This record gives sequence, C-alpha cells and structure tokens, in this order.
Amino acid sequence: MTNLSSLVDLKNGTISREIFVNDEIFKQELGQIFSRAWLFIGHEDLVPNPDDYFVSRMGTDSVILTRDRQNKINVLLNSCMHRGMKVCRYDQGNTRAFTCPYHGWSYSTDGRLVEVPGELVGVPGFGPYYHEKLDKKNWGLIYCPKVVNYKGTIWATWDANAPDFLDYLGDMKVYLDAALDHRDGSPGGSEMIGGVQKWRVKCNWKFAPENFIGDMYHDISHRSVDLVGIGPSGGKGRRDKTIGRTTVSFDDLGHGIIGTLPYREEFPYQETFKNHPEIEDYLKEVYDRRLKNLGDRLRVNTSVGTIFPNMSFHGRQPRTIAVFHPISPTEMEMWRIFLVDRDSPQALKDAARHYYMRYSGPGGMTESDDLENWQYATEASAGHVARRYHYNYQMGMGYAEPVPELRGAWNNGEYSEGNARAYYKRYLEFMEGRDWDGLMAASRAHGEARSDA
Amino acid sequence: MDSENLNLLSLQPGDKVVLTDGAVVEITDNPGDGVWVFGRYLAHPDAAKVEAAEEQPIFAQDIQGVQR
Repeated sequence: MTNLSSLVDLKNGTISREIFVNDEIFKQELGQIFSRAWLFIGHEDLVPNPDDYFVSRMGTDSVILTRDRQNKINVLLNSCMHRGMKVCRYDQGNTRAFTCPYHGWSYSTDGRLVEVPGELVGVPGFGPYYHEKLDKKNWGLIYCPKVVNYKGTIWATWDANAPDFLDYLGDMKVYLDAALDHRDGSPGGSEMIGGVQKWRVKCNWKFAPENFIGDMYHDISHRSVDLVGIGPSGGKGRRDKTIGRTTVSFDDLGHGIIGTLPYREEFPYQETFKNHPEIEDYLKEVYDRRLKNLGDRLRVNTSVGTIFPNMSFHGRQPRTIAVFHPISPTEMEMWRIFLVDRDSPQALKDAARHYYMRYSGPGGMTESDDLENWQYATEASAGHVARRYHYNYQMGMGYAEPVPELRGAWNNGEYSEGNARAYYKRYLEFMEGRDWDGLMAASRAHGEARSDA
Repeated sequence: MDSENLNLLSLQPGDKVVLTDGAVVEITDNPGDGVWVFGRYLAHPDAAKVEAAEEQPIFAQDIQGVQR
C-alpha cells in the first residue's frame, strides 16, 4: 500500500502527480474512498414510477437505482451472485425483477415478495437440482445499506457505519440547498430536463471536482467562450454574474464552493434572459416571491460547488449536477444532469435547456475547454520524468478566514487554491484509512448546525 | 393443453399453465424478461403450496404448456 503522506504535502502546498496517474493509488481510492463515502447515484426523476430503474455507478461498480412497488428507493449491485453477470444491461427502464441472462437467477425488489431489496426469488432447478437446499435469502443482490433521497437527489454508501448524510454534508448543506431549492426560496421543487448526458474523458477523475471548487484563475481557458458570449441571452460571458463572489472551503469535510458568503438581504434583481421578455417577467415574479419567502433569513448564492469526492454542481444558471466516475487512473466517465424549477413555464425550460447544452455536456463549449485541459494534463503527467514532480497548490496559503455563520467553513477569497487544499486534505484522511470517528471528529467538534442555516 | 410454440411473452394475467411436475398455475404478472412469470398455484403435488396462495416466480422451462 502506497504511503500517501509524502505525496500530498499540504504543509508546503504541493501534490505529487502520482496520485493522478498511478494504478496502485487508484485501487486504493476505490477501497478507501468509493467503498465508504456517500456518493451521488442519480435523481428521483430517473425512477418516477414503481419498478423503474436506472443503472448508475459507485466507483468502478455498476449499480441499479430502483423504485420498488412500496415506493422505496434502493441501490443494488449490478452483478449476479451466481457467476457475476450483469443482471441489468440497459441504462434505464421498468421491470419487476432483474433476471440474469446467464443462468436465469432472478432477483426482486417487490416488498410483497421479499424481505430485503434484491432478494433472490427465482432459481432455475431450485427443486429438482438444488433439492430446495439453496438458501436464497443469503444469495440476493448486494444492496447499499444507506440510501438517502435529499431534495430529489439520491445518495448512497456501501458503509453501514457511515455517518448520516446530513452529517457528512455539514453546513455545505446551505450551498447545496441553493442549487436544489426553488428559485423563490421554497424547499426542493427542481426537476430534471431530459436525461443524463454521459461521456468518457481520458483524464484522472480528481481534476474535475478540484476544478469546480475554486479554480477561478483558470478562466483564461475560457477566454474564447467569454468573448463569443454563450450566456442565457447570448451576452458576453458564460453565466450569471455572482455578486460578492468568493470561494469557501469546508476543510474538515472536503467540500467547497464558488459563491457568496452567507447574507440576509437579497442582492438586486439581475436580468438574465433579456431576449425572452416572457421568461424575464416570470423570473422577476419569482425574485419577488423569494424576497417574501426568505425575509431576513440567512441565504447564500452558489455558483459552483463540489461534494467530496466526485459530485459537483452549478447552483444558478446553469443549474446542473456533474458526476465524475473513475474508470482508471487516466480515464473517467462524466455525467451531467440538468435542473429547472418544476413549475416554471415551458418557455423557460426550453431556453434553459438550449443554454445548458451550449454551456455543459460533451458538446458544451465551456466543458470542452475544461476537458482539453484535464486530458492533456493527465497525459503529460504520466510520463516517466514528469511524474517525479509535484503540482503547485500554494496560491493563497495562510490567508483564509473563518466564516462565522457556518460550521468549519473558511473564506479563501475569490482567487485561491484553498478549496483544492481542503479537498486533498480530506482525500488524504480517507486514503489513510481513518475510521468514521477519526474522519468526523473535527467536523463534529464544531457542534450543531445553525437552526436557520 | 397446448404445449406447441409456447411464447412466454404472450402469457397474460389470468392465463393458466401446467408445469412439468403437474402443478397448475394462474399467471398474475409477466415481467416480459422471457425467463420468469409470476403466478399462484391452483394445484400442486404439495398441497401446502396451494394453500399458501402466495405469488411465486415460475421458471419458463418448468412450464409444460397452457391450459385451455
């Protein structure tokens, strides 16, 4: 097992390229991080009806997100317990049972038939060849012991001892809420537009979540897109301007954002769809409702955020969720899900969909810039000589200030690598194999969450 | 009973099938996977299985034919 403390040097702000290209370290990540951390699985809109399923990933494992006939959401390992065959080879659909095409073992999620999700209900030859001696209850599909539906987003962990999801999230919750809640400030209410965009990129999976949480100075990469102007109304820039923008890290949890510090008085209304008067009228009405709904309650704006280890999101326009699934040290599978308020007019949904697609996804102009950087950085770091050297993460070291309204949060300033250092601090803690008491001790020492946060 | 050209996908809830062990099953659901259907025993060599009246998965190759 590779000792990582010399590779992730947080005291000096340098990180070895090995953690981005090394196969042994990648295997450790699968065991220490992806087998234990809370992972984003999908959105409830992917399984709206009983017997619906959607095939997702947890690390390199294929998993099936299902909604059973009792309306419970489950996450099952997509591998037959007999010979390991995938019991589900479609991306999405509706079925009452998952039947392995190899030998016909059949698994059900229907609580009327079974006691646990994915229980083995049908075995060919159970009577004549197994002589009814096969203990079917012990040979069901492996299922995640902890699954949470948080405002429509589905999260799961393989580790039964993992803390509750909200503990894992900490006060990062307020920033995730800002992405998932209705624009008028009421809880929840967002829905998916279309399906999940999926594509593979020849880069290490960590480039993306790191890039999403504070790498403001890489905007030079997007210079051409900014000049062209791909914003909602085709103006200059790529997305809504975030007034009061900074970067905030949750150093004990590894999460981080680009956005605002907590505030109580709403910023002035900004027009974002100037070419669409109908949409603009609706958004102004939503803004007025937001003023009324939130009053002087604490609030934040999230431009971009990352939940450790591999889920990121855009909180405003565009509103999307991105997931970075590890495939190998030098390849990841990236997913994008696009969100909009469920009750917004169709005109907004259509305009948002067009804007989101020209911004993000495999054909998105901003995304293309990023993918090129991550891919060539990975390739150039894998060389025999190149991998001897460390990356530099020293920007803004020693200049962070605590955010008093939020537990364990640090304001790193708009241009800083503080968020990345926090992310890799958490990465190191997981990779060292700390147990959950060790992993959560610092966060728990900050006490209870704010009641109005 | 018709055992020729049995198309498992055509079985509908309410259809009755005879199994190779002589059991008679009323189909309750057909997930359409071509391997299993769900049903309740109307007759079975083991009477307890009929009395249980619980839905059971029925394996395609155990179906001898459709009872007309």
